[in-house]
Amino acid sequence: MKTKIFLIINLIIISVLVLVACAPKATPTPETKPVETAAPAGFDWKRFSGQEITLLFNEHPWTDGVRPHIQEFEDLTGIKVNLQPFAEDLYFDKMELAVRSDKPVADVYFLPMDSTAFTQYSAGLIAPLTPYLNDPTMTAADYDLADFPEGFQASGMYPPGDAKAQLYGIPITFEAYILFYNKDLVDKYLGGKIPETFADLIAAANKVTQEGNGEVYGAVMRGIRSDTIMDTLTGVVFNSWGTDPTPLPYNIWFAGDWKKPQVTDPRITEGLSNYAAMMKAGPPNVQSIDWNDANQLFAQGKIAFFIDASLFGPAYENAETSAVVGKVGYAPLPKTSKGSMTGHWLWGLGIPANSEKKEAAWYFIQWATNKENEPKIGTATGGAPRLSTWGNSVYTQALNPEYVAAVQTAMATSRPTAVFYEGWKEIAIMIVDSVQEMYGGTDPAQATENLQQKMLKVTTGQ
Amino acid sequence: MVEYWEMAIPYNHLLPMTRNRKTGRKPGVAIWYIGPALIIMGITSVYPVIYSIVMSFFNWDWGIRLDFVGIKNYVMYLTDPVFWKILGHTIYFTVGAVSVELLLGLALAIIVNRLGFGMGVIRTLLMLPLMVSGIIVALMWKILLDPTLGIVNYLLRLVSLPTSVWFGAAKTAMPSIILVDTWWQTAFVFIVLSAGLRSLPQEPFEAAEVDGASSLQAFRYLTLPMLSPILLTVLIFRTIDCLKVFAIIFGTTGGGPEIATEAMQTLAYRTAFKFLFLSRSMTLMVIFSLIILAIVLIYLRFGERTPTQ
Repeated sequence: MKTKIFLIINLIIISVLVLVACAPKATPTPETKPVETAAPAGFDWKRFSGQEITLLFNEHPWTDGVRPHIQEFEDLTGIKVNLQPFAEDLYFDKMELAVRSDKPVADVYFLPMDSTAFTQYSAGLIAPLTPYLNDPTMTAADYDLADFPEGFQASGMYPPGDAKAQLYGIPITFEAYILFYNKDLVDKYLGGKIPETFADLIAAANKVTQEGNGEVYGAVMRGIRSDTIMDTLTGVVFNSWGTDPTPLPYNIWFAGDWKKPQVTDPRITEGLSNYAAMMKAGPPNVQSIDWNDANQLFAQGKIAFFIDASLFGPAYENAETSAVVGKVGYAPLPKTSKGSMTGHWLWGLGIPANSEKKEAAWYFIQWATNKENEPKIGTATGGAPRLSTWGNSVYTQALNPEYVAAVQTAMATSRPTAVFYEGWKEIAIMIVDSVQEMYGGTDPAQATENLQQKMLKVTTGQ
Repeated sequence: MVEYWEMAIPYNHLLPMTRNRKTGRKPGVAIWYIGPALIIMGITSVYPVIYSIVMSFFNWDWGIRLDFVGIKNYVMYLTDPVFWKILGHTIYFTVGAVSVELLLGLALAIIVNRLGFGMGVIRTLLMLPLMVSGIIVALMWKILLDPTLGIVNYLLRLVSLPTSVWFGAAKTAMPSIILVDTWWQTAFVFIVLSAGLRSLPQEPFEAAEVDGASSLQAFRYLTLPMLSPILLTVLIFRTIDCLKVFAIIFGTTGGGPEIATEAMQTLAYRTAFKFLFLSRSMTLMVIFSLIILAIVLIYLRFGERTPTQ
């Protein structure tokens, strides 16, 4: 009898604990406290002195760029900074956990300004920055938000297209998708001739691969089955899309309605097909190559042409990490019949809704992205988002002039690659699968027709 | 009669003293020793299981949306050919890796057991891969097997052997992953079977030798039957471990090319942390846990029927 009572008591305790723990909890709704203080005569950087903030950062060149200057921020504001950087794969998981935590984990975090940020906004996990930007006691008069191109700001304005949209992230670095080429290999295999059109590029890349005997290859692209290739891929598709608008939140993939995918549009088919053709001109294991593998192959001098993020450029001129210092050429994407166009993607800084030190966090964001500090930090990435930075000699003189020219040209035609749709990454994988089908030999028109049906199934729920 | 351990506890009269029907023993004080551990284990393992089962009936975006969808997630996966294809990949990997590791591990154990010298050094060397974490193993082999920069293809070219694209093509990717797992985990099989071999009684082998049994006959009729309980244990451990494969695939192919190496765990990870469909991911794990449970039960039933003497 005593055993039964003992077991029953144990079972009751366990059941109660399990039921309590299993009760689903809604994530707390973000709350932005209005700041109520009188406007000082000058900007008061010491206002939150004594506070400590945690920065949850990706181990990114921008983090390398800001790290040596953090002491300057601490001296200026009296705010202590606790920097927690993580390798990119780990960072994404850590970030998603941190913004969903019941207790604050971070006060400032690296914000991917794409569907990730939009999904977090939709789930109420991220704090708006507009209230701080509109408050002269919280933002210095010379901050000048308009110095960030509107296209960059649009990646962090939610709800997209709404007149009352608020800004949820400040861009810290952008990557436009440009062409890197190895001048030595172009000289050796192509007589120094840079392809003018995308068709020429594919032909040239194939020629190098054929003559390279497995020692060098004509091209390398991100080929792994992952949403990480999506932005580069979109840049190549933009090149075939031409100057027609790419309105957010749909971008080019939907005709103004989530139930109307338009991937059978010949321009999209051509763009995806061009990407697959560049994969075919690459190493035989291209389907297991992600950005870091592709970047490594190019930096080791094994690749003639590489289309990817402009962000990689500065590292190619660093002898510690590159075997191609002084041998890299930079150019906008070779033109198609629609001209030369590209896309861009942004990292920003955001504040989690669960942060208890949002004001001090905003001070850090403001300091790191103002006109004075962005050029200094931006030399580490070569992707400073402020327009004025590209006219700042501190920034431009630290970079290869050919690189600066290529990126500035790309910026002139670049559009955001983001799509603001919850669950976009599931569709992104479908698009990647479509490219892989083309790489495997499926007719491009057939592959995009299959893709259209798959996307319809997801967005219509049928 | 009062047991010595009953005297050690002044309040033992409060303890449950019901005798076990089979053994006739009283649980007595033992329940107090293992009780806290049982409660903690119950909470830490029962809680996630119940939580996952409950959440698999919802559509939860890991945020504020939490819609009850009934068995929709289950129907979606069980009627999706891609799900079955990925389950097939997981089983393909498991059958391939477990077979090779068991055969290789058993062969190594028998050979090393007969060597009689340098066994400590050999065991230590064979154990080295086991000490490396899965993700390090994956990254190391990704570099070694890189067709352009990797040393394996370079060495193959040096001796005029055909090279491979390893992880880079649908046909060779999964065998390459099996190869990596074999390098990593064969030592586990070897260590357990090696210990099993050393614990076998010598008398039957001496009697067999006197009767003129060959080495093969001794292995077939003595070693294998006597080792079968240990083999079954190793088989269950390795099967469960291989069904849960994640780090090697995540670190080498990411599930590609196309979906050639996508396994249940990588699919669940992608669904949860990339697509942020937490409920769907939990549905996958509930289905997969049931499959693993079924396989283990089949093994155990098979083990009960196999004579060990």
